Amino acid sequence: MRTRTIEYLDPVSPNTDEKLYVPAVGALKDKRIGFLSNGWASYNAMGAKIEQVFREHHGMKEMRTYKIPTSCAPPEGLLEQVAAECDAAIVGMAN
Amino acid sequence: MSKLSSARYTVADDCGAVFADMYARGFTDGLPVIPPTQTAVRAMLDAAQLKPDELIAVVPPERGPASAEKIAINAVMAGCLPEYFPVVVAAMRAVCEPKFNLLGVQTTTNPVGPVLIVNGPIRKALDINCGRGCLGPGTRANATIGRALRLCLLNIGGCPPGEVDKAIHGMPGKFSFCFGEFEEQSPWPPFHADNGFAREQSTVTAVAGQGTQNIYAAFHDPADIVTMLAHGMAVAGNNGYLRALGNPLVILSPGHAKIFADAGWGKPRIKQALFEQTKIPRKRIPRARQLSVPVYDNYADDELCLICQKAEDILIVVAGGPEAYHITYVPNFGTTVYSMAAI
Repeated sequence: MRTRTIEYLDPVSPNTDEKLYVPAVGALKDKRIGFLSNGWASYNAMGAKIEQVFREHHGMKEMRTYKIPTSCAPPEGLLEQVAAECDAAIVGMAN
Repeated sequence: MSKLSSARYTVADDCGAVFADMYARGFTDGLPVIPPTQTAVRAMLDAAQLKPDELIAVVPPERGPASAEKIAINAVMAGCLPEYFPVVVAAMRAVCEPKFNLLGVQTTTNPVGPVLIVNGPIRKALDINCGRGCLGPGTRANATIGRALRLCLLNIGGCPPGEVDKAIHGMPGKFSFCFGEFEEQSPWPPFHADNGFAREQSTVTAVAGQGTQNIYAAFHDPADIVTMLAHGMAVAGNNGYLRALGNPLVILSPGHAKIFADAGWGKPRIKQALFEQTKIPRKRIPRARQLSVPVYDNYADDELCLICQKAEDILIVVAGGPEAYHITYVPNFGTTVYSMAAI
């Protein structure tokens, strides 16, 4: 005896936007690296350590900090500003 | 007839089998769902006169496209009747407004979830509960409209609990949180009219709420009611104080609203009194550095920490049973602004 079946539609709607991949920044010597700070003390502590390592061991020229609101996406236009002003940026960490 | 484009799954035609299959795929909130068949989904779309591929919103965090078809699928799953669908669509528009900060609401460690408030004639048309028990179980419209929104945020936003939704505990309102304002029992203009909508226009408002706090304030004097309510609201651990932002939400019973109105108090006066009486001196909060640095971190001992930016940001609606006993306070996520959409 055949089992009766039911067909249902998939409720998920994945993002199918084309992913943009850019070349890696490569060596950090003389580079300016952006750091988006959302006010979490632990994140900022790691950022300070990263800056020290990047400067002392990799010759980074500057780490430029940009403040963003806590628990929010960066304000409109900020990422474009960071991209224009920096060679690469740390935009978040799973801290 | 426009074609439905979603992928299809086939399972044994048995309630338990359907639920087990959808649960295993991560499509549900942990409760059984109605299978979103083509027939049921088309009925939803027809009720709102929407084409399947009409894009309603883009849903964070994964920026999933919320087409009318995808919202309809989730609305069927939630148990919505087709006539509820326009409210669900409007709710999606509201929460996806940038000012609502759905990205933050979806992914935070805070228990926050959208709270939906419905105004206008659609409440009666759909039998949306505005009275006794309106925040609790028992009414299909309230339960399923709120749930449809949550399933959309899960399935279209790409936000499974624990993996992407990082709420440490979550809260029961993240299953569903939807009610109507009891406009007929309110002595004041309804919430949507305060925000520039005509009374005859139905609207849905989304507020980012952290849960509910009951405050027993069975006084006859408005000043005493405000004092008791302010005690319940003045909780330094609520997110509003972290940033002095957001929209604390107060749900007054018709009985309390009448006491205020009979004594000549309007909503602005109540808001101002609450704003003043919910200020907390810095010295009552420990000085030790917190993981997320609050706006009051460097305040002097007697400087006052604010529940939100200004009195006008406190929201007041009238709903619930008639007795002037209990008030429901919904603390706010802080970095969010309430958002409204016409239905």
